[in-house]
Amino acid sequence: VIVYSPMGSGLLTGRMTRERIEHLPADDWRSNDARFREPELSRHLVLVDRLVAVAERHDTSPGAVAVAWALRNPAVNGAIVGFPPPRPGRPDPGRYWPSAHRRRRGRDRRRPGEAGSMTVGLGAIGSPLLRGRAPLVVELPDQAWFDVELAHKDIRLALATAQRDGVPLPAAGLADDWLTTASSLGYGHRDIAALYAVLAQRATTSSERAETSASGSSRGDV
Amino acid sequence: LADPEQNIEEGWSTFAELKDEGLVRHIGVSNFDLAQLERVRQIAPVETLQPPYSLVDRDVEQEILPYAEAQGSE
Repeated sequence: VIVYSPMGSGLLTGRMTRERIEHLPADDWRSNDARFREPELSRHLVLVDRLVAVAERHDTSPGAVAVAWALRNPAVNGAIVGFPPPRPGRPDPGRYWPSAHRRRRGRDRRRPGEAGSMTVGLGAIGSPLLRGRAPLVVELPDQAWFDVELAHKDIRLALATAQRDGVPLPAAGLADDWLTTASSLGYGHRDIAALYAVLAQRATTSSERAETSASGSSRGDV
Repeated sequence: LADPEQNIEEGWSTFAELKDEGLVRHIGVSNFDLAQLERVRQIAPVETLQPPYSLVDRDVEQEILPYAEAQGSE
């Protein structure tokens, strides 16, 4: 059993005050959700206060306590969580999830590329998927969330279907090529964030090649 | 399979076929109640279940979670 909404659609994060809930935009579905309305709301806000107290004792966030509560049920194998989009000045949402964003003991130094990958998440192409992967791009984990071969399988299925139906899928074709390259470089069972490493390697190789040919050097092809 | 309002037998049979063909590795359902789980289980085993569960949404503690634990479902 993998449960969803372990933080009650944001209600248990500790950031949902009565005032904020009363001012939720009309198009926010939660403004019509029974959990966010009286008579339930008062009871739930009391719960949140208790989560805050527990979180303080353990130096963590109320949301993390809520997730831990759901996971303690023996029937529950996992919990699906979502994060709000990062904004300047807001605490890093992944910091209480060490596997998503590893804490470095004694220092909080960002690695090269980290600021860049976080910035991409803030822009127009910053899908939740891309934002969630930013830390993995910076530091490729040994254990994949979703590995290159699985992604490649999906792309091949999409291409086969598209070909059968006579639909051109040029972007999927490119993805097919790069996933093949990633596998040949030994990234088959690594997370698809490895594609950034592959692109970076290839970019270096081709710029070296360009330099070599421009200088007329006899150095062989890389 | 996430929409219990639709024809779940037809949907679940299709999922089972996809798994048999090797096109997907695992199949599961979301938001199903006990009766619906029992219905689709006749067609193919439910490998995973995805219900809402939190301190403010504890309905699944009544039947679903004990059932899943008893079945040894993931």
